[in-house]
Amino acid sequence: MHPGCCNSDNPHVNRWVAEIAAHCQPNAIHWCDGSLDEKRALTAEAVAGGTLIPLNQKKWPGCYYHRSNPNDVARVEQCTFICTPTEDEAGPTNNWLAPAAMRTKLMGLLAGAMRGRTMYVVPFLMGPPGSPLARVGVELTDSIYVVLSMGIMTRMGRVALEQLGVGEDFTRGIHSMLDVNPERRYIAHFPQENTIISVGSNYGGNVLLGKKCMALRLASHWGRDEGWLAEHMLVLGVESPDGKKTFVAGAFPSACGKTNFAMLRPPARFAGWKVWTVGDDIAWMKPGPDGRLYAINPETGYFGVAPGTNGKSNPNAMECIKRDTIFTNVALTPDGDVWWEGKDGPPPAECLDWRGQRWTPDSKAKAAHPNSRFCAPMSNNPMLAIEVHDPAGVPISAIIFGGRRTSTIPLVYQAFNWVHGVYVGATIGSETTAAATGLVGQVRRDPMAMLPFCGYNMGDYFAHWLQMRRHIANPPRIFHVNWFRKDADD
Amino acid sequence: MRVLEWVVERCRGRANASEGLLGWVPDAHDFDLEGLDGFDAARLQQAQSTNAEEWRREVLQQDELFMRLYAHLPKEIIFQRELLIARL
Repeated sequence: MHPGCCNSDNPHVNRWVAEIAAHCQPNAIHWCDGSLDEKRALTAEAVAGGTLIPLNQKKWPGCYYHRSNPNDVARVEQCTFICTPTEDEAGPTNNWLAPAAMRTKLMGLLAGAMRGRTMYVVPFLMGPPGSPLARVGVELTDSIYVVLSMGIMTRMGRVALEQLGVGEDFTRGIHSMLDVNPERRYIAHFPQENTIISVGSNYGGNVLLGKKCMALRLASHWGRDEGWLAEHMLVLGVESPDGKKTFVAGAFPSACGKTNFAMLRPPARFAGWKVWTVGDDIAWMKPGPDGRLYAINPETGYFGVAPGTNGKSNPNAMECIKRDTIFTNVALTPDGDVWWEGKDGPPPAECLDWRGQRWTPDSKAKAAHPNSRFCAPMSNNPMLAIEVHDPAGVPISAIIFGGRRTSTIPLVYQAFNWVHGVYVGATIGSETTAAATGLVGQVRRDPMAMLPFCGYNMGDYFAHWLQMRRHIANPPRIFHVNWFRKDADD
Repeated sequence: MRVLEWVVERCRGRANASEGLLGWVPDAHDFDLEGLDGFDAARLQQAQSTNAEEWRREVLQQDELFMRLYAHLPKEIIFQRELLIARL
């Protein structure tokens, strides 16, 4: 078959793609198959078009550099909407607009929006093939950067269409960069229609629709309706010297070192202990036939914050990014190397900062944007848990909640029982670290670290957690940790 | 890693804990402190200490979120809050 041609014989997919293409009017449609040849061709195209800059391929094989629009550098909660039939279903912690009104507004913005561009059809599978928890999505996007990133973060291409078969149960994602204008930036979720529409951005969580949008906001709905949990959690496996593995899930608000914890390397004195990474961001957890809670990582890559990542804070992450990685908004050196604040070694004498301007160590501004990212395949992780491919998932023995608190909260305690544990998770908070806002040390509540990611009423979400107890005969123990208590140490 | 070790050993039924105000907490002798420069049993106790006054403030701060969610807040959450206050 000719590369890029329609490779789907699913009538629901084909009809929907034709409908959206007719509306957005792209010059061409490229159906992604997820092959290595396709990746090579698309990468070459992205380089030719200036979207990606190749790094020094001797030092960084398969690695590329991308700069986003300076107005588009992070998730934007004020532009994120949950379009449930009633405002009450979305709850007071989400932005809401009636589905019909939002759809009309966004379809208006999308009319003819892809003229002169290619529309990529990106089928993707969240979760191991064959897993009862795995879900299929199809993202239509006019961004080649999104296609290449989705190829790292998800099981992309033919494998997804195979899992879907002839069914119509797939998430419909529509993304257009438009003119990357914050005035026309919306990330809208339609849980009842299994649809996500994202416009006006080309950055991370706003546009990689499989991640926060589908795997958390929509999946939290499915979890509630079907009796499982879609959580903003890392999953790791602790292997003791006797070879026994215990799997632990953990929820932490941002800036608490979640990725570093997921890739923890035991200190020298823990001879024989190993920590294996299952996932660093999202866990889908369902009660298993034996009464325990089983978790899968729906993703296949790490979209991690670069600044502060170094051989000491996270040696495994430094291994992960050595090849086949896309760096966004870090600094670029003249010899095709990357740099960020808190990387190993001295800063380069001269480089281009994340805006593409000349930067030297005397410059006042930061060379890398504080939210600059690496997008790296999990297969690069030397401590990747083999169980990550298991369709059944891994049995979770403990759930750890945490936050950044310099006082009040002790280093560690264990909840008395599940109900108490839900209360502990519902009350976690973290102190703000952004000095610029003048609010340093203020505690921001972030229940289960899900405040920006829970796709329905947060009160109902707590009720769902409490209800889950009835379906898990052997529930995980729940803990709270605080690495940040002053005078505390690990 | 020491915290993680305690968590794992708790799950395997191999580590001790005592009942604190907030939940089960490790005793100094349950906790592997060897090889930590300057982090001794006294420092651990400090890192584990709970101050009832700080926790009264904490509970009040938690209420800000709960009030926003009031219409849908499960009663278990309110009962757990009351039990915590009773323990302080």
